[in-house]
Amino acid sequence: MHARLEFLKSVPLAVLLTVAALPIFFLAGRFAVLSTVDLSSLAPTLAFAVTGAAVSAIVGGALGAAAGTLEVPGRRWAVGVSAALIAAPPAFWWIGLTRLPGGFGSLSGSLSGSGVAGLVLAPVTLLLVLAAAREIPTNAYEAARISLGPTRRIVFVLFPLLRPAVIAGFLLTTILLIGESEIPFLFGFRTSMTDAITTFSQTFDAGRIVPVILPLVVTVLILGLLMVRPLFTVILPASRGDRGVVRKPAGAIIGAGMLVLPVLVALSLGGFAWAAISGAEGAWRRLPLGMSTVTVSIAEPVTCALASVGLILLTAYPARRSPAIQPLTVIGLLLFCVPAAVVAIGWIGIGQAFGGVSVAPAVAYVSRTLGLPALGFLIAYSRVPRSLDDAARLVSMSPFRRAWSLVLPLLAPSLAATAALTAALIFADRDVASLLLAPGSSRLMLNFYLLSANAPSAVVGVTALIVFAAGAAVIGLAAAGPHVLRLRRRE
Amino acid sequence: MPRANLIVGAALLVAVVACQGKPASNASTGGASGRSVVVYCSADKEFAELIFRAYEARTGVKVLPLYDTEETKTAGLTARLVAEKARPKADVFWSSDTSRAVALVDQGLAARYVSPEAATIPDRFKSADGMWTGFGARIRVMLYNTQKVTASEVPRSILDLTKPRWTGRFAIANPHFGTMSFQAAALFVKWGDAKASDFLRRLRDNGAVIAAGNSDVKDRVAAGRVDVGILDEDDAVVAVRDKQPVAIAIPDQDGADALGTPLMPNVALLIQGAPHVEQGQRFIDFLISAEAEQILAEGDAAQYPLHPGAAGPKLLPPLDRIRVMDVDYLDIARRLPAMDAAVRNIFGL
Amino acid sequence: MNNLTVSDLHVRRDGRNILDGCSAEFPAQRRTVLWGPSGAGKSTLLSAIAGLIAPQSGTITLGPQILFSAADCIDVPPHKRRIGYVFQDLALWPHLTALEQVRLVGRSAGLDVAGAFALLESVGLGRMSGRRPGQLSGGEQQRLAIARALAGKPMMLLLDEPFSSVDRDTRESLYGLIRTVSPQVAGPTIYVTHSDEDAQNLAEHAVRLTEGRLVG
Repeated sequence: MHARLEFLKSVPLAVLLTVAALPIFFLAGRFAVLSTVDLSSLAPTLAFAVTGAAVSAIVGGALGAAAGTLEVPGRRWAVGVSAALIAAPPAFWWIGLTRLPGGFGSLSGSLSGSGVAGLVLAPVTLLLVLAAAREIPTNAYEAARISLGPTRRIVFVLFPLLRPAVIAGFLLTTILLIGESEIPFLFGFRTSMTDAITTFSQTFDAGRIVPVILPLVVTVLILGLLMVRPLFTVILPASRGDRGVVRKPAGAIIGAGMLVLPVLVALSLGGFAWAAISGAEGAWRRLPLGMSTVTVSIAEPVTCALASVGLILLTAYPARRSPAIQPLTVIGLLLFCVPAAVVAIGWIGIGQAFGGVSVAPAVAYVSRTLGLPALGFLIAYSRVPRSLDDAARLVSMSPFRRAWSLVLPLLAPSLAATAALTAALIFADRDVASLLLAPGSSRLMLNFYLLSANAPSAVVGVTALIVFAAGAAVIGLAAAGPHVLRLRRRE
Repeated sequence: MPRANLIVGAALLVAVVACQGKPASNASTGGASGRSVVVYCSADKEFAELIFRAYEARTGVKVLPLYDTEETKTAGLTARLVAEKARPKADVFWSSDTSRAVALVDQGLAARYVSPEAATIPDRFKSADGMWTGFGARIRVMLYNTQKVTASEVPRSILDLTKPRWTGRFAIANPHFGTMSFQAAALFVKWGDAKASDFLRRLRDNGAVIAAGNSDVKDRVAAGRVDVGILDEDDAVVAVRDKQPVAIAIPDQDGADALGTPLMPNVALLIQGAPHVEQGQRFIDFLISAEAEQILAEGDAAQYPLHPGAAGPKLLPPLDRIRVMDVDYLDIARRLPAMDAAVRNIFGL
Repeated sequence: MNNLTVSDLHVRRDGRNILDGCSAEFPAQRRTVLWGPSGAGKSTLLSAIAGLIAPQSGTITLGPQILFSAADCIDVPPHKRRIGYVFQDLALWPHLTALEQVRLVGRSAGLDVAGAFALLESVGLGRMSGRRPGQLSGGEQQRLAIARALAGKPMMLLLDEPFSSVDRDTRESLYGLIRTVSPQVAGPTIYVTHSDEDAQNLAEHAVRLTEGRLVG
């Protein structure tokens, strides 16, 4: 009886995820009618994505291992600045680099695009490896230090312990790059995503792109399933006792290596600043940006991210002890793997099927990103000792108050990180905005891309710096939201 | 007050302000109250905003624009207009691509409107029945990198790009989209399918670099990745004003039989079944006026007014000293499918 | 009398019988030490009494009140069983001060601020009411866990090896605290341990759990 009750508590979460998956069901339904696939651009897509993911895994893995096991002056700053790369899409950073004098703009082709994209997404693997390093049992690594030289220790102890994180980072980066459309446009090569967006933009018919999209969606779902186990190994706690490696001082070369990604950030922002300062005189004063655009561009991702977190808390919290919570989280994660443009096109198709009803971008944003807060909740709750939740159950108060006062505050830090990441991804979006925005509406990131095509460099430079500042505001505000769970009443 | 309270309060304030900052639009129609007009616009945002702000300042009517993307340009917006035919959301279509806009007339998407401002625009730049009106035109030019090519070496004609000395040294935008598609279709009209297809094939065999769009052509030339590119004059002017090492040349001007370079007016269309017909008509009146053309002529938009007597862009010769290609815009629109099929066949795009 | 009676309790988990027909009576207002080897099911029995897990069969009654009956489909929720529970890892909420922990639990029993202070004073934490668990020593945390367990004026007090990680002197003082507070509880005090020393210092009554069954 109790098992059945626990299972029933997971129904609201299942319903929420089912609604979020409607665009995928719609496109799958269209496939059932058409039954054709177009695999012509899948191979170059995978080549681009896998190559970029390899770059991310090598660079991010090495930096993560160094940051997780060695003491490097300024390590925290270096990791923090490196993580800033995730706050904007690869194309944003690349456009900044091309504004620097001296030849970055001459790169083209899939290989160059993979390298740039992989480098920008290296923080994905870096952060996963760092998290894994923190979970290494202290005594286990100290024992390795006593009995093995550095090379053998890295090969036979450190790398096996970090391998799930590297694999998860590789697969996650591959998934993200499969959905990437701007880098291929900038570097001049085709992928399934560019074909899908181009075809849809030419026809505005969701059904026409199903043959291109379906192999892509199936691919990301398979990769997502493969990613689940290594990712969960990294993010869900396993061992008790002391964890984390006792750091030893690092050499100068490793210290310099930690600066690779921060230098990339600095160069890109420097390129925008250079363009802003050295461009056509007075051009920067002609910025076509209004305060309402800036405000909405900040408020929308924050609101959508907090809405995602709120919806997940409402549905996942009652089901926190249900055996269905982990499988449902996996489903949410798989939903997240589907590229945002595909989700947007699915919603457009649904709207067209209902007589041309417009779907707001917020719907697409929330439906696609629900998987992140679900994962964040699972991580957070799994790290709370069960006895704390048990102790809360013994207190005579309403279930809502019990959750609000006793359990959810323990989850706040993880939920804050999740909200920040979700908001950053929404802020960085171009595809959903370009497909679903109503006339008269504009968003900073979309405007940036539109301007980068034709506007004077100075205008592009200033816009980019505003975008970066707004992105920082988005992350800060989104992270602050879950901290309301820690707001205290004076006794 | 705890710091978290302040941050959360700021977030709520931002959200409230943002909600008030949104346009008061009816999501299901994409339009708004009577004091706004919805414009689907494939012109560059930076230039279009100049017109929109001027119109808003003059009339108090809010312009709600929808722009295309650089990759799909006008083709994307026309597809959207076709998809919305049963329930139009747009009032006006401002197209920078003459041919694709004119093609909408055949699909029944344009409504008849003869603006009083169109009276002095020459007949070849508008339809006799008021279905479309041209204004603010651009020409196709060559942009060359001055560090690699001298003024005397620049190709005199687009046909020169099929010669060995230019192998792999030139770029064109994707001929499926934008003004490159216009130019390609114009050649199909001018030369016939066979000769035009042969020309495209020889460009391909001579190592034509296919760029994502005109701005990509501009960037490649400015960076020295190619020596020469074919693009619109406004993109070329941006590069010159940005102090890039480039210069502009107008192709196909020499000799009595010169091909001439395509002249591409912007096109204004009133959408059939527009939610706000009157507002759409008033906006078109302004858009095709001499005043709006003057705004587009000045600055980086660098577009040629079609109203007689108006001054053209400063960095380029006046229109009456340029040999333009003599083609009918409706014919170009009708050759687009044949051109698209040939491009797909020849370039695999 | 508020004796706690456990009858024929069965708890099965992961294919294994943790409690296999457990039956015993725990007398009211007396300290019963529940002891047995590791893995015998002691913590599971406490969790079942507290309502934190649901047995497959059996009954649990406290005086006249049925807390759990599988046959009659009765399962009183944990927060309505009026139980004071000191967990093995203490389970102190890290974000709440000592006073807040006690007040929160004591609210349902009408405990006001003055009462909460008095309770903390009685366990020697009067001057630390504003500190969070992370700011207390191990022994102080133990005292806070006991105070919190008593705050709701519980009908029974359950302690699951709470002193396993404290030094001898602290343990001695905590024994004294338990001996002082347990008579205030209307029902039984059940203390789980596998330590002979704990049993010698606290037991007024003892039962042994072996292979899921109670003896003694």
